[in-house]
Amino acid sequence: MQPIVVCNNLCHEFQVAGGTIQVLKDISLEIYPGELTMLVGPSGCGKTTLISVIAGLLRHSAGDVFVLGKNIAKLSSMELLKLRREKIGFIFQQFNLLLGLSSNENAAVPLVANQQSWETAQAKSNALLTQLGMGNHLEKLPRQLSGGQQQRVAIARALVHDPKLLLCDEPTASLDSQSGQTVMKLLTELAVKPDRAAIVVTHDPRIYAFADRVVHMEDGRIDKVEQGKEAIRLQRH
Amino acid sequence: MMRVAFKMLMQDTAKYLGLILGIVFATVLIAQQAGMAWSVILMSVNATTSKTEVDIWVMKPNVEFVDTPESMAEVCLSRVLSVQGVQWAVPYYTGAGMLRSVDGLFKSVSINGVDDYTLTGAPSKDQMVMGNVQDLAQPDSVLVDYIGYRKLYPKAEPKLGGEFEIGQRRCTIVGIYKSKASFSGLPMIVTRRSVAVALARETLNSMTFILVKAKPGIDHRELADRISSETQLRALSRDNFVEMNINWMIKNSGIIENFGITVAMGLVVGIVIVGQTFYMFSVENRKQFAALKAIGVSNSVILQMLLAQAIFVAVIGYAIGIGICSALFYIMNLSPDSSLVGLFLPDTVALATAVIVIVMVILSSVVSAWKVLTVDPALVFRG
Repeated sequence: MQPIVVCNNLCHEFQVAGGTIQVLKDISLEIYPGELTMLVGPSGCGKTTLISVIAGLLRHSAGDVFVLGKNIAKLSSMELLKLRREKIGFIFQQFNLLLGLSSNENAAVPLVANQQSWETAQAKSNALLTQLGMGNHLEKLPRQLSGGQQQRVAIARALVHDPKLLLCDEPTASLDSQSGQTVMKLLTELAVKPDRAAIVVTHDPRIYAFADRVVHMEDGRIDKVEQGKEAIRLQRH
Repeated sequence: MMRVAFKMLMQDTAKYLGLILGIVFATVLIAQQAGMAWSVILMSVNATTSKTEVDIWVMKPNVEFVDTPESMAEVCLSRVLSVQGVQWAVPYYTGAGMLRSVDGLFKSVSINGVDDYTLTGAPSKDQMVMGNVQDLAQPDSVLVDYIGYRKLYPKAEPKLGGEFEIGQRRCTIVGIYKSKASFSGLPMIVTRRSVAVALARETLNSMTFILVKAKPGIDHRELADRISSETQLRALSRDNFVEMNINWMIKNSGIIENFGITVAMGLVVGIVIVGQTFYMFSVENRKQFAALKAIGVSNSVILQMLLAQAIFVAVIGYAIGIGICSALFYIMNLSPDSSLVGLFLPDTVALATAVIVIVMVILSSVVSAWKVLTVDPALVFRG
């Protein structure tokens, strides 16, 4: 099986006054389809930087990163945009929904950005939102929704164009415990498919049990990797 | 993505209305002041442009403005008539006098003397509200313009037969006509030239202009040049005469400077309000734009969205602003006694304001757009 993401000896550093800070150190990692991988670790360990690099939002300093077989260092800005638009779905900690758009319009945006008509896009987003239990909130604006409901709209937006890679940054951080569990349950049910991989950045140990693999990061390096839901669950308890 | 752009624009009603109000304010200020300036300038040539049957105006060589003419000798008319290509030429007199009404009050008036025999230069039939131009043939008869009549007799309904004195000579009103407002704002008296010079207490048979009609097929400018070279007088085609008067007004009246300051203020205030609101909009929405960029929307699409927003608010703001401005000019003209009668919103000013407003809004939007276009999409991963 071909991995969806491959990182080989990935390094990244930031220039700051008085020198450079190395935030990713020699990261080697493979993410396979059908797998939900969690990147965990303390703040500042490089989790968010790593998914920013994988998403092509940051250009890394050294090493290779392949996404869906493409070396992203060799892609132009336009090719990176196309890759993100067509093949990657995003879920953010702060939801980042467009405040003037209703739930179904928000969820339809990636399809419209991919040149689909509003009618087609909204039909797909309606169906997905209904699956996510948001059928009664299709016309509501983000400010009329709870945090959990907004994150469900964000999940619909991330999945509506059927991406091959799903990148989630702290998807439960802004939610209470119960909403967090519900969101993760929906995410694992809908997001993880045989041809799609999901990477979830989190420092919330309560959701580790949803992962197929947990990658522990520490000071820019991969510290250890835990395999299998059951193993992870047992280790937690 | 335009639908997204418009929904994002209208998500904050207060800011959206503030943006529209800023554009409305700038539009009203620019169009109203520029309209007033331009219509005041045009007033100076209303008397010229209304005489559509005249192709060429002849005057003394040192005349610079229609309201400051100099008298010419009677022989000048014969010299002009002798120039090849002239179909007809008639004398015309403009001057001023003091009118004494029946109640003993004195008022300044503008006196216009048309050719005694042909009445060329008198108002047309269509302009007459009451009476008949041909009645000028009666002794000491005059026509009065409608606005001027209302100024002379504010409380009376317009009627014929009224009398007043100018230059200690009694005159009778035989007609009232509609005319565009004059720059001086004085009531306009039209009479035969022989009567006009007497009213103005000028030398007998004085004339300030010679009105010329060119033969069919003759180029007006060429004929004007020929008249100038053969008579040593200044002859100008109607268009050139209008242009000369407008240039004189622009150069000597200070209108452009005075109104221009307010127009510039309107522009600056508009740029500040619109620019600031767009900037705040960009700053407050940068996370939303960053999210769009993260999911693969390109900067060129985002720029199109911002420009669509700018053009949308510019068109709405301009439409409301120009509507308010037109209403203001309409109200100004409601009372015939008002000194604002005759001011209007020229089409060219409305069009120029549209261009200025749209450019102003687009520029403000593009400057603010920089904040959005340079936003790092990785911002969405920072909590």
